[in-house]
Amino acid sequence: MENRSMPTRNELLVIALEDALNEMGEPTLEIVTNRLFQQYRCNLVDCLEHPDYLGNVLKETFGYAQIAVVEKIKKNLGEFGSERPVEEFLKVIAK
Amino acid sequence: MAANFAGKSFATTTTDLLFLPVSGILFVLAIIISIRFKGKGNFGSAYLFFAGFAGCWFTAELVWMTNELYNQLKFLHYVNDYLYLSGYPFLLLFARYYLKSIESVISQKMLAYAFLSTIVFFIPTFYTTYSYNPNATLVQILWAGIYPLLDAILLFPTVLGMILFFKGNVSFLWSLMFIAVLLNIIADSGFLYLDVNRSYYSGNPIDILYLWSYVLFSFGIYSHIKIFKKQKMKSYGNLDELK
Repeated sequence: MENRSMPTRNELLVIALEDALNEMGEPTLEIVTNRLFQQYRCNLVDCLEHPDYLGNVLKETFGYAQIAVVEKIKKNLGEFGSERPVEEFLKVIAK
Repeated sequence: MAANFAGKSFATTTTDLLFLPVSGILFVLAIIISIRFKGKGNFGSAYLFFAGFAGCWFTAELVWMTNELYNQLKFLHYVNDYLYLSGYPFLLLFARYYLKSIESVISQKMLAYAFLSTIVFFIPTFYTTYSYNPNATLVQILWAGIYPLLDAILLFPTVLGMILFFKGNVSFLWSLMFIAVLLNIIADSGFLYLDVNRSYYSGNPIDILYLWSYVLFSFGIYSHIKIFKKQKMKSYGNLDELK
């Protein structure tokens, strides 16, 4: 039987992030990842270390999307979303 | 406005000729953004409905211009009304999906303000229209009341959008769409009062508000086209940058 390990916290966070951006519209994820690379030379996984990069890109692009993204991530992650590192990550994005 | 100084007839022609390209540009922009989003996600659905609205109103402007400039055909007035009216559900659905991404920040208090504004707008508007002709039949009342009713319904998401803008939750460009809807509602109310007074004519200065509404819608959509335009991914070039 295949041994599947549980996804890590970071993997879950990235999936939740991608899902939140995709829910707004397909090009949203594309635009955000492109801008992250062009401005900070990083991708969504790297953003877990630098949530301020993601927060800046979301703010520049939409002026509001960080609210939508934060709420959606919280919803996707359920109880896991209230863990301290995740909460801190969301707090920085929402600034 | 300037065309009014040259006489009503000149104002009518100028306005009719202005409305067509302005609404046409909006329709084209709406199609471009809809294709970009392919109807997927909240924005995708919102823009698809917006394209439906822009299509209905562009056709209505076309019919209106044909009617005004060529024939003065009476039956086209009804076609026009149906076209304008069919645009409202699309616009309402657009507002619904446009707000959906941020519904989590909409509080009960905001909803109460929006509801109150809707009631405060609808009751006096409808009453004033009705009081001009209290002996009107039910059909006449329905025709007179349908625009204020639809405007009142549209005012609900518009007020929510405006509150979010003034609270600083959303940017100006994002809010342009709601500012345009608000202008349209004001223009509709002005049109209604002038129409029951029998003082409206095509080219009346109130039409400027409709024109501005089209212009703001176009700027709003254009700003989104610019934001979401396909970008070419730059090559990595120096791989050391990624380390």
